[in-house]
Amino acid sequence: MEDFSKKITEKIKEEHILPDSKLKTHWRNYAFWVLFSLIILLGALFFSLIILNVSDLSPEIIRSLKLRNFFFLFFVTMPYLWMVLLAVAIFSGFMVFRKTKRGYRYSLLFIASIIALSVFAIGVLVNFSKINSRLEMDIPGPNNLVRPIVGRWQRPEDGLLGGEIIKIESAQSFLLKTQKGDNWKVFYSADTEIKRRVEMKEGEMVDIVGEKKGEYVFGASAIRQAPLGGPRARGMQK
Amino acid sequence: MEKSIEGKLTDNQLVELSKTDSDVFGELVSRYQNRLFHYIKRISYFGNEDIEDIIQEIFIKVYKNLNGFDCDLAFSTWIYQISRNTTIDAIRKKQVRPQSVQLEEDDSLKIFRSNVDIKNELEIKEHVDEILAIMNELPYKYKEIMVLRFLEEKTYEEIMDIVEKPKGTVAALIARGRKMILEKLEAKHFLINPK
Repeated sequence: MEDFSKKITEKIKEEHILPDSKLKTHWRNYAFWVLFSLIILLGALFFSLIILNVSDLSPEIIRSLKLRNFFFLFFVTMPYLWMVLLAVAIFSGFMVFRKTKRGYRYSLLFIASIIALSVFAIGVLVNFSKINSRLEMDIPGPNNLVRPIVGRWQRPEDGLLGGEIIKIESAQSFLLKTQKGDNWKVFYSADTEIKRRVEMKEGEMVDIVGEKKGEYVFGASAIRQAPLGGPRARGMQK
Repeated sequence: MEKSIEGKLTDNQLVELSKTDSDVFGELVSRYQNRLFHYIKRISYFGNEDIEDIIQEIFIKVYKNLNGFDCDLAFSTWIYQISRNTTIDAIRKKQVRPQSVQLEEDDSLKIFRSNVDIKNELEIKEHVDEILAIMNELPYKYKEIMVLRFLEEKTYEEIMDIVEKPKGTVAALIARGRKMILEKLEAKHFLINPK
């Protein structure tokens, strides 16, 4: 085989070929890292929205609901959209990581663990910062997909009702306006578990666990204040 | 720079010097062209002229990407990686299935001996055609890894960087390739011991 060294160096000189700059040779790798970081941030946001939706079912609510009702509500009102998008983000993150310069060296398990840990850690921070609850109301889309919490508290047949107290009728009843615009008469008693922060006054946003007693009549077994700035509260104002 | 001095420099030193002096790059070409020629011949079905064209394309690519080389990899691994990708692109352009790549007799027997301990060496001589058929029936992805491991004598880490797959996948491909060879030999009633 002939020695190519002369032929190749001559070609380089004749065609004025020069080594590409560092930026040009590395831009693809940088682009994949930027894309990977964006995917992690998006994944973290999706995870924080899942936390927001799931943490709405606090232990006090779980206690007040019958176990069967709880599981039913849990599965019917799970944030499936965010769960699917989180899975898509983790998968895309894996694919993009593999495209980075040395991404091929790492096993599926290692990459998936790194992505999951980053997404979960940042997602928890986003949840603490409350960015997720502020963002949730601004995301366009049907409530049952984007904001499953909203629908969760509009199920009087399943024992959950949420809305704004619009009139205190007596020491043991008030009128509640739901997000749908229906007015419900809510009864409570000394046995009703009323959470500390709840003030029985007009304008208070509350979540109620109990039982439908008749047409637009609801018996409360537990009343809590709706999380401040939560989607239901803001949804009522819209 | 004088040729004798260039010959004493390491690959990485030559890479650095080549960035400003294209004549130095000639030394890297001389060092690798034969090795790459054999490697490409083993992983492709191309004739000598085509391989020489591919080699020129590889060296021009390497020269253009000198700034993209980092010491994270050995230069030899990096150039094999580029060679493999360029060869696979060339195979795709010709639209021929890589499955049709045939190893030469000596290469096939070398891979075979690296994986199988035949009790009677005479058996190999008597059944060369069958052994060659078994080796050439191996799917491309196994054959390619076997070539790197047993003919190019690369380590698992080097193969991982050349084919851009995790080390576990490389090990699994070698193990599965070996298992396939043994199963086919057993089916043909060879007296064998796996290595």
